[in-house]
Amino acid sequence: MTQTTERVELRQAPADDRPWQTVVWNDPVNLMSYVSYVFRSYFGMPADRAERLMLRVHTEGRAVVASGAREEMERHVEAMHDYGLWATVQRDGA
Amino acid sequence: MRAFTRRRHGYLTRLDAAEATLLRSLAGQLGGLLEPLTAPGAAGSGPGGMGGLSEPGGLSGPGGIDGLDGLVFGGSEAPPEDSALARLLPDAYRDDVEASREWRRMTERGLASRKAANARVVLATAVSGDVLLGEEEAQAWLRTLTDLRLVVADRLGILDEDGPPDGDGPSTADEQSRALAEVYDWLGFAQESLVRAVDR
Repeated sequence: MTQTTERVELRQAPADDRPWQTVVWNDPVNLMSYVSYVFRSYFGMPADRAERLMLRVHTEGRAVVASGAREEMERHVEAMHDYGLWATVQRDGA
Repeated sequence: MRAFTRRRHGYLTRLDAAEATLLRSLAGQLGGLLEPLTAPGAAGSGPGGMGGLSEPGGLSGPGGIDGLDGLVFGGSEAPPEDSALARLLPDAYRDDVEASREWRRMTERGLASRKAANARVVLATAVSGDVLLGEEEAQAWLRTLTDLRLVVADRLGILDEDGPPDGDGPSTADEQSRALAEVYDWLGFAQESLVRAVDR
């Protein structure tokens, strides 16, 4: 092995540090009771938070339901689609 | 049907013969709609899959990279052309076509397979008379009822929460729309009551 003398810069540029988010979108079909149930049972949200986010989806058209690593957000999206909700992955601030 | 109630051994409802037949028919149709997307090298674009076996050149074939890729993932990359299917299997990224395609390639087949499996549970358990669902069966029903409502809504052209658009006059198309609208409402009742029973 060669001796390395340079320090390897592992930190990404500041712009890449923005976390990823899972966003749930409103649709005219899904029942409010069902959306709230999904937030509680899948994400383990307490009832009042689930209700608040469900209402935000309903009234504002969308809500951020999770934030973190990209792969994790993609898994959440897949789970939401399993339940019949529509969710997408985005960068924070998008 | 009666609203679902939670009992000691599961979730109980009662379907009459017409309701059971309807629900089984819908579940069967949903399975049929999903089925092409559950096979390796399924519909749509994608480099892998069994289609690669017939491509000249390249590494296609069981021992080749393309062939293996198709067997493992085999998902398409483009959204389904059918608008109802596209709603069941939507994009994961709104503003990044490449990321959406990659994610779809990795996940679509699994999603379609799980939805098809849920529909088969409903097909097997939607009987006339008393219906008692265990926990897993109830979860399959919850997801299938939702998927069915999404498909029916698409066919009805439901764009907002006011529900199905009103038909004009007694044409055949409107008869069908009215029947579909009744199905949509019935599915909504079933879904709401099951959510309430499960979500105590």
